[in-house]
Amino acid sequence: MVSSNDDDRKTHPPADEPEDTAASNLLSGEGGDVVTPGRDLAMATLVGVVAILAIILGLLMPNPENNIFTAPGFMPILTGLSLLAMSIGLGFGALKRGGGSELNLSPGELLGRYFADYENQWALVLMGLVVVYVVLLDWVTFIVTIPLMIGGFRLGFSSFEAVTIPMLAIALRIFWPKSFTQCLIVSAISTLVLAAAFRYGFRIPLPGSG
Amino acid sequence: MFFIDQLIHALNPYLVFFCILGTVLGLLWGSMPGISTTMSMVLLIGLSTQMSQDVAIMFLLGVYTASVFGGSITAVLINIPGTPAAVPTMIEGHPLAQRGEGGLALGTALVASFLGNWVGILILVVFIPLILLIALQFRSWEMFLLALWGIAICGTLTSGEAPIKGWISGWLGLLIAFVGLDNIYGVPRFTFGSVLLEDGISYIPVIIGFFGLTEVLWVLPQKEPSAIPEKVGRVIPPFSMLWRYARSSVRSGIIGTVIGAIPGAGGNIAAFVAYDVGKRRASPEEREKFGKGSYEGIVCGEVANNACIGGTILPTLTLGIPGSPPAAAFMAALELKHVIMGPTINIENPGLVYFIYGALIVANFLMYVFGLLLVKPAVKLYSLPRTLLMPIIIPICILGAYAVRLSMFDVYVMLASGFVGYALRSLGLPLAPMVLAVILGSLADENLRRALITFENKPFWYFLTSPIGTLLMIVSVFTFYDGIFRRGRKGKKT
Amino acid sequence: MSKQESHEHPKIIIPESSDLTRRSFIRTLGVAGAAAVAPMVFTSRKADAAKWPARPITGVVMYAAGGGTDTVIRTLCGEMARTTGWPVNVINRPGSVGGVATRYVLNKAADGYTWLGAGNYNKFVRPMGYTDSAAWVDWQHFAAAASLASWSVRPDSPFKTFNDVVAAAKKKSGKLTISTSGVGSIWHEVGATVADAAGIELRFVPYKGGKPATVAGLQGEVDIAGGGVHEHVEFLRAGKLRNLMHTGPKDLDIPGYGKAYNIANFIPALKALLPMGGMYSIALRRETPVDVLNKIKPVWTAAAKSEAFGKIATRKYFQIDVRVGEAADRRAAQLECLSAATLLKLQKHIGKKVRGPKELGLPEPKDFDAWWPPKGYKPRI
Repeated sequence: MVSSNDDDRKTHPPADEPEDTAASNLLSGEGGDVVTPGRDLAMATLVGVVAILAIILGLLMPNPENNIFTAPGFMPILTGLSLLAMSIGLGFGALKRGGGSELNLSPGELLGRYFADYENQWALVLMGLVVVYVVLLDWVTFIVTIPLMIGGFRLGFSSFEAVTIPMLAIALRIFWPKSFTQCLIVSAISTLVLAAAFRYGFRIPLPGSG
Repeated sequence: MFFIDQLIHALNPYLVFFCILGTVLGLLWGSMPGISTTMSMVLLIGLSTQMSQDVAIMFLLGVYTASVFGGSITAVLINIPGTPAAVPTMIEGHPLAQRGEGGLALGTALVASFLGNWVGILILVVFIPLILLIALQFRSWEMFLLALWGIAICGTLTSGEAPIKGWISGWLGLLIAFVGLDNIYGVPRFTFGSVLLEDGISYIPVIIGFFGLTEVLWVLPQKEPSAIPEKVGRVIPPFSMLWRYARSSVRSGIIGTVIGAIPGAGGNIAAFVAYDVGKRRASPEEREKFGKGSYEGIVCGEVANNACIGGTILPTLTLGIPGSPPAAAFMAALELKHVIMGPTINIENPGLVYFIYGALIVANFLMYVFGLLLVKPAVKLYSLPRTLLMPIIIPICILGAYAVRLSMFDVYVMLASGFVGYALRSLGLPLAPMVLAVILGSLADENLRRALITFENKPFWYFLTSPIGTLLMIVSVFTFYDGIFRRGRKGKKT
Repeated sequence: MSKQESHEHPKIIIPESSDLTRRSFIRTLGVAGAAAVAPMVFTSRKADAAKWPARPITGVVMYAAGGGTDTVIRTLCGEMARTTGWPVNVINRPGSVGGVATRYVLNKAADGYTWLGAGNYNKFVRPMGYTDSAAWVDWQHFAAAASLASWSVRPDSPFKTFNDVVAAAKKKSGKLTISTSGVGSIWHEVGATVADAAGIELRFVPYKGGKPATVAGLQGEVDIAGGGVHEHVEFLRAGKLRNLMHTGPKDLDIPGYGKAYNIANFIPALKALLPMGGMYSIALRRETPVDVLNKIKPVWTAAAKSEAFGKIATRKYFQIDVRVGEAADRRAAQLECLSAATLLKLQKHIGKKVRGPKELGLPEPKDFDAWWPPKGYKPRI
């Protein structure tokens, strides 16, 4: 799964970040990837489609008072129209800067390029893991409570811990260079601390059943 | 006096304890690269759900204040900004640390942050009554324009040379905000027949997804920058330094507060603008030092990013429009505590505004004290690898999203937002405008349509009779003009 | 940290051993699976009335946080939790004048662990077509208090009394604006009922709740501020609003303001309908074990009569009006019957198909007394 791209990168000399890069990253907000005109074009197309959908759905919305200004679809239509204008603007800009050339690539090639990126691969693995985690949290629900003698305090162990401990251990194992046992221990400790903080400290029920 | 009462209330040991808790968490989290101020606020909304109103306020303001300073610790010592707002501090502070002046650099940052908070608080105290005075002039039409302009300016400010991308992000956020039953007729919009979606999409899980999960997805697969912290030495807070840079301090404080008050623009923009202005205004010999370790540069950045806090809280409280993503998180927490923000805040929640001043003051002193105490532990914590810390954020995001309404649906919304945020970031779209639009979307929609109802049976130029409305229209038109024709052209040149 | 920066970094720290192809990923999953399955000892989640409440109760308020319903339900739930130690979490599920919360609770088990925090005995959801569950057939309501409607104007308004409004509205029909807490909401309904009785037409401008509706009047965005007495009273005291009428059974003496006249002074015909306004209750699914309902009944009554709630009620001019069992059922049916008839009459303002009394299996309002109790009705507690 790991591509040869990594080797390319390893040959890059270590470079201290020049001040200007830092500054421009800051200005661009959260700091983005290298954005090519081709990507802009793809985004413009996607946004255009969303805008048109919004307009159509807005037109289909019922209009109780038969008055365009108070119609529930009024704002969605306005938003869709202006969004469409923006996407056209962005698309033209991208075309001018030569975004069209990247259109020659087949979708397969584009996807191939995307998956060749080491970070993208791991981000996808991580996303898959999080989805499985959340779905498990949703499906598995139980709680075992052990009443302690002191003041009616109930010690609980619920599906949240049961699902979180192994899932977190897997996530740790993938990214943290330690053995699975170590990951499991860290995962168990942090999960139990977290669950205890929510359940006993702040009396907030946990997903699942409490 | 109301204010003294509330300040004494804020000094209640129980509340101070939670403020200390928040300050310490904020300092440690803020200093951790990858956990920005927004993320620390967002992750702690969940914890605050069961706190009482005053505890939650003290706690979150402690987190907010301290995490902004916390960012500078790693910036100075490791050359990695703990929060984006600490970048100017990093540029100036790290060379100083390499020269063995790390303690002094951090001390300067701390004192500057302390001062910045005071500037923010003072401006807040002076301007809240003024804004509240005119806030009652904000009716449906003005609220609509304000929301629209807020989203537009946020788009411009966060997307650098291509404002259109910021606007697209904001406009997509508007569409998300329309999901659910519309506020006026209860007509389902964009629900595709789903009962769950009729409830609408709550912005809290969206913020958690965007600034929590997205960040984890983004940062965790990256190579971890290996770095050896520079020696700290003793942290010396040099108040004399501030005196020397008094002009820069005051200027940066005002810049920070004003930028904070502009919807959607947060501490990072405040710090950068103040730093940039400071560089241009500095004396020639000082300007030479910029980039190689200028104390004045640190002062500019740190005063501004802390002054920004007071600024962002101003529109949040008086108009219900958050000044920055962390302020949006603060607003979410207040909303969960049934605080109704807006022009009537003083009537709805008597004394609350004064209590918030008090809490900010307490948090500021605590930040100062714990800033001095915690520099070394914060650096130690950084030696824990990011690959160990970041995965643990995932269950915290889930708990936070769940805790707010005890709803698994919100967890799925958080999950989807995290993925969408990741995708948008990959495409180079800023996230802040979208979040702001999700928060303000239904407000804009409802107010526009209501304004149009009240314009019925009136002459067509009636909408020009409101001075604030007209002013906002001019400002909005200028923002769009500026974004399309001026910045757009500049973008093409580079 | 941006991705771009990371391109410049030379080393990849993620260890070789974490390469999935080299890892026995399946073994990892196996361990995870075992860990997940091992502790699955399920506690019984069936309703066990004797042990109730064995876990936290969730109160689902059907209106947004901070509103009248929310305040009342939270105060009462807090009071109940304080006296009994029951853990009660209150959440808000606003939308569709209560339809969203109603459906939410209907989807939960009838075990007494999920309560509906209801306004107005949930009387709008059936006529508006959001649910088919009827308050006295599918629910058991516990009611605590009622609020009163109020119309107020700014001190600089030309309207000195309610009669001035009627005179002005007759001159320019449908042009005077009045704020409401939303289309088809309680203040819309009361407002429309009053306007109808006065023979005038008003333009109802919907806001997100009673409070924003009040503020709109304060700002002068609308000619008349609609809302509840509890929402207007602070502004009346502060001299920022002038009361035109309210829907209490008697005139009110508001300290710091003076006398506020009820609508019967201007339209005697409405006297029989007073008090009109919002009602606050919790509702449980009717299949909930009787034992559980009987446990809640005395606690609820005590909470409604508690000092803490009494204070809020006095300050906000809520009328304490405790109804449980058959009294609550009857009131629920009567209110729904009245509202269905009113909403049907106002259908063109609602902008949505409304189900009238006949469609809902209810009598016309005037025949209600003869109709109750309906065939097959059995009180639950």
